[in-house]
Amino acid sequence: MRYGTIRHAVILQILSILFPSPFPAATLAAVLPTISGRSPQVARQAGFYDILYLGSPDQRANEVGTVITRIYADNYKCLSNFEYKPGKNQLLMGLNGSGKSTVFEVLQLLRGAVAEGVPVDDDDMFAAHTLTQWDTRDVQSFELEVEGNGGAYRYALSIEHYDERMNCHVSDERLDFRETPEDAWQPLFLMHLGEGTLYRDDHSEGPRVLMDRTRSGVAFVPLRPDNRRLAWFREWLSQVLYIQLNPMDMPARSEGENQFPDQTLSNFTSWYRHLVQEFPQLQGQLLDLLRQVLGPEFAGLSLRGKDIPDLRWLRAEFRGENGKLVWFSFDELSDGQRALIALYVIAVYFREAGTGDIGGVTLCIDEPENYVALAELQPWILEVEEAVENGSSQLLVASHHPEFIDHYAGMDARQLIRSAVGPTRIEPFRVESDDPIRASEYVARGWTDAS
Amino acid sequence: MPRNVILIVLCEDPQHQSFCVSLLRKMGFNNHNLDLHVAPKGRGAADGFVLSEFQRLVKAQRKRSGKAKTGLLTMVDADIREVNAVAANFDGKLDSKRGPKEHIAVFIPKRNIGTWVRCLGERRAVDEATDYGRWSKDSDCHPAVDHFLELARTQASQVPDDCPPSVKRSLEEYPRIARLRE
Repeated sequence: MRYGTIRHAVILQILSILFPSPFPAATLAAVLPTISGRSPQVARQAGFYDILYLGSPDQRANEVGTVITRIYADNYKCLSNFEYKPGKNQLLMGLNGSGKSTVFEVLQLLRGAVAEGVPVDDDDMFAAHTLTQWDTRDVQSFELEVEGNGGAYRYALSIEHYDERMNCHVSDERLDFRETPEDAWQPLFLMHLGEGTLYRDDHSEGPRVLMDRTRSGVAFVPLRPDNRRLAWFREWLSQVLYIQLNPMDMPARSEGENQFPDQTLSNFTSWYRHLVQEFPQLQGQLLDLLRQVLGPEFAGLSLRGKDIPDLRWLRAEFRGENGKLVWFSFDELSDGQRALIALYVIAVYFREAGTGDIGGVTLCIDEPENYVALAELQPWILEVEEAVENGSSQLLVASHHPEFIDHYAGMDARQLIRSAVGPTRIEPFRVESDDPIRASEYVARGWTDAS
Repeated sequence: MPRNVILIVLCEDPQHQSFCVSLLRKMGFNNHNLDLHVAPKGRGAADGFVLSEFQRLVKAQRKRSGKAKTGLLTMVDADIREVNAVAANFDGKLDSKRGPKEHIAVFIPKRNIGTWVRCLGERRAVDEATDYGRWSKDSDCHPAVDHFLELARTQASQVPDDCPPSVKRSLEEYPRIARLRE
């Protein structure tokens, strides 16, 4: 954990003790990023707000499934007035450039803004080049609807580009909640032109505060006993993971623990370090699964320290013919072996997180087939699907691979369709099911627009 | 189970898949032993896909019967048709009749898999003409799978008389895939 993060969390904790009413700290929280540096995952990483305000792990484990039910994006790359209603376990397919990864990027951006507190004008966030090429408007709009925590959330964020698109800031942001589809949406947070209005869980209005327009206001509302719904949303959004495996950039070395994997899993070893602390049972489950994949000689993954404190190296251990332990540094394994190990760590994490104390995970995985042998694809997807079925998590897979197309064609697949220059649209993938051919053959032959 | 044992599951829809996969896992097969072929969703009847895949897969399996340890479990709903007629339709697609030692089983629930889940899982009386609908979660079929396995491991003479005929017929098919583990 970085020093700045701890400092920020401690300041917020002190503020919440000094000001027992819900909101005075909010005003300061809004400016805290500028005095204590960026403060991603302010309270969550510190841990104590979780204990105080998010309820016990058992309470959260009992929640019903958490599922993104709607994603809307307008004026973002190829997504123009684009609406997608994902399922609990769904394939996104489509031609290269049709926008599959872009849909996941939207989730990644919202996670960054709200769960990590990344400034919206950060180079990796809503830069001008992310505006739709043929659209002259300067405002980008995003919406997200989620079922979970005993109801449904609706989040909306508008980003305005100004100074001839050299800069951008938040123009509007709101978070609503309702318990049943019959109820009207009720606000939990509103921000318009830099003025934020805070609401309690009973939707009674709190104070209005000035907020830093380069950041999401939801990201910096301090957690309180009477805004647990907002806290839950932010916590949940941190568990929306976009993974695009790149085993060539997965070093064996780790300098510390990371709570979440990054997009390419370049922090795999640091994430694994965290997981074995958080889920001690993970190693046993992983051993069973990886023995099926890497062979019965596989003896496990281990983290070894050297003389320097905090540094660890990940290695894969095998039992040789005479029972002697043989090990390879993680970066000595082949790209395919590293990818497989990472995929099964994801699968076990997905299962544990979906049934355990941190609630549902939405896993958006882009082309998991890369680097992996054909025979390994279906076993992996079966493993992850079992977790979806038995837990409260959601799985969205983007892939062109016949194995995934055929697997999901019987269940739930969506195709993204786009001309070379034009917006992306989305529709269910359907074939003539009485035809004697597999769905991937349809795609390969161009009998569907998603080929 | 060694990785060279492969059991192909060929079926009409995800509910068939969840029943078959659950059954096979309880029998000791792991994900690496399974190869799923589920009819794609879409216009038209899914049993057309299952029938043509059955023909293709059996042909390939027979060609390699000496070399590969492969089995095929097929599931298709009888719906309003007679179970024997559906079975005959499948057998008719083959060059020769299934031998008793071939690891090729065809389960044909009637009226559909929902009937099995109601009678085997919920232990409720059923008739095979009524459509009892489907279930919402994959795990809802687990009690039915457990009971099916229980019956499969008992003597045929001890299977209750009120067990639906389509279940009884599939219990007779069960040893074809169970023997693959030997």
